[in-house]
Amino acid sequence: MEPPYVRTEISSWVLAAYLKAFRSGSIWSKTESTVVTARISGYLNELLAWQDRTGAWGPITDVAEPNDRTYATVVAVWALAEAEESPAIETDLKRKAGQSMQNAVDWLIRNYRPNYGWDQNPRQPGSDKFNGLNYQAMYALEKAEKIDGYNSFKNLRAYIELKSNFVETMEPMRIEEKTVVPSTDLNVGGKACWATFLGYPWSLAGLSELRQDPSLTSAERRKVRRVLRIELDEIGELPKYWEKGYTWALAETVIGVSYLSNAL
Amino acid sequence: MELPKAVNPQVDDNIQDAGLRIIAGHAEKLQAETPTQPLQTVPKAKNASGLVNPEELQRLSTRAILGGGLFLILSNIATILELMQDGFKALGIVFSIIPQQIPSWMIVTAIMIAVVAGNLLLGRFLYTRFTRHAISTHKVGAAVFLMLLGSVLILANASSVARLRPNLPRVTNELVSNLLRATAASQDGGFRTDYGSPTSREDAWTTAQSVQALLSRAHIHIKSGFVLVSITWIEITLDLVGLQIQWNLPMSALKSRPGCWLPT
Repeated sequence: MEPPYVRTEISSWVLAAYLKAFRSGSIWSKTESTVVTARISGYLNELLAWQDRTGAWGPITDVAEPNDRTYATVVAVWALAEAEESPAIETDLKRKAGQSMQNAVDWLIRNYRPNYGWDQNPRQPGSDKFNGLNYQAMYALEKAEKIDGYNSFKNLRAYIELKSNFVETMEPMRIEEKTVVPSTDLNVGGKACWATFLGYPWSLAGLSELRQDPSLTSAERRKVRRVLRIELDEIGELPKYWEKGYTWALAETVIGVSYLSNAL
Repeated sequence: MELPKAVNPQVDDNIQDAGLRIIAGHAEKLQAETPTQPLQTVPKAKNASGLVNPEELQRLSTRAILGGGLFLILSNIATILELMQDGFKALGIVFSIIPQQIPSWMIVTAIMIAVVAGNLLLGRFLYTRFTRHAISTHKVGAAVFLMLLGSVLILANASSVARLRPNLPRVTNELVSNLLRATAASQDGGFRTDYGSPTSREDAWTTAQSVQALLSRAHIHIKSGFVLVSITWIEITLDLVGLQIQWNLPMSALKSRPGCWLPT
């Protein structure tokens, strides 16, 4: 058996949870906040140190281009976007994180395949879509678009075309939709890096952002609404479907439904 | 020759009973034989020569039946929509034509207005027919009965409308209560990997995702102390083992399957 190893995605999720809790303003007292902000900054610095010069992250801490993966990059972009909006982060660190986020977004734009989406490993292009990964990537990009000072990418022709192609080719997700990293790509730098991507919750989150996107054409917005309405028809089935299961999957489902509720 | 009583004075333009139609036809035949006794009490069902026109009678009774049917459909529109919900799912396009900007309360209000109006029309329609020959006491009884019937129909339809709407707060509540089961047996605030199994292990990644989920929801109030305890659990775990994934977990218990060993 392998010895334990660090997964960078855990760092991104923990950082995002901390930032969300800090923003809620009711978790820590003023005196506790000093300690907490130091801790949050520590996690952020740690995450930034694991970014590859390409702009991407790998799931492990051995930074090298062959280890670059889409999911690790997407959750890092999400956490960095949260950091940019957080009062817990100092200006200098925000600048560093903003630049880092922009580089990661550029990597995501470069590695989007029209009519397909993103591969978990761009060096190993597949044919079956990673629907959950695609929607979560779109969600993270939409979040990053809202960060003033680091969102010039939203005017790039390549990005506008990416969004149009994404909307044109996207399909409604069923509750049970999920994809996994193929066995041929489990080994990252000698470590097993399995990941499962849920389609339904991240499509709810992604579509909640897209439906408010002013850069979409009216036909594209109609498509977003149509797909969302089809998915909404299934939402009543969720409690029964999730009567039992793994906590991570249920947590992601709550996140998707909550983002949708907040947007409606 | 004496005319049958059924077509004599009380027959009006809304005859809907098939038996009456036969009798009316028979009466016309008799009328032809006795032209000196025209059917003066069937004014709208007479032809130019003052005779009963069976086609006209059929048209009027069809109109009455259609009217009654329409009122019945209108007064039960919510229940009918609920029954047809599966069909609508297959034809997702039906609901997609309703613009997203229209709030669901407006749609619900429109449906309930149709239900109440339909029940009033149906009540009036039935009352007219029930009480034509009734004495005053029976008229009161019929009115009370129809009011009760209308109330039952309106309540049944209101309940159907509630089930028709994708009730996001209710769905979120049920999902969150399941999610909280993951921490029910926990002494120190960590979330277990399987919320249905009190013996599964607590895990930092799962806890971070769960905290994020709890803080994302729009409709449920989670005590800040609860979030603090969970985050403190993450801190302690990370201080002990860093961002390492946990071992010896069942397959797929985490978003990443750490138990999967690969020869390198």
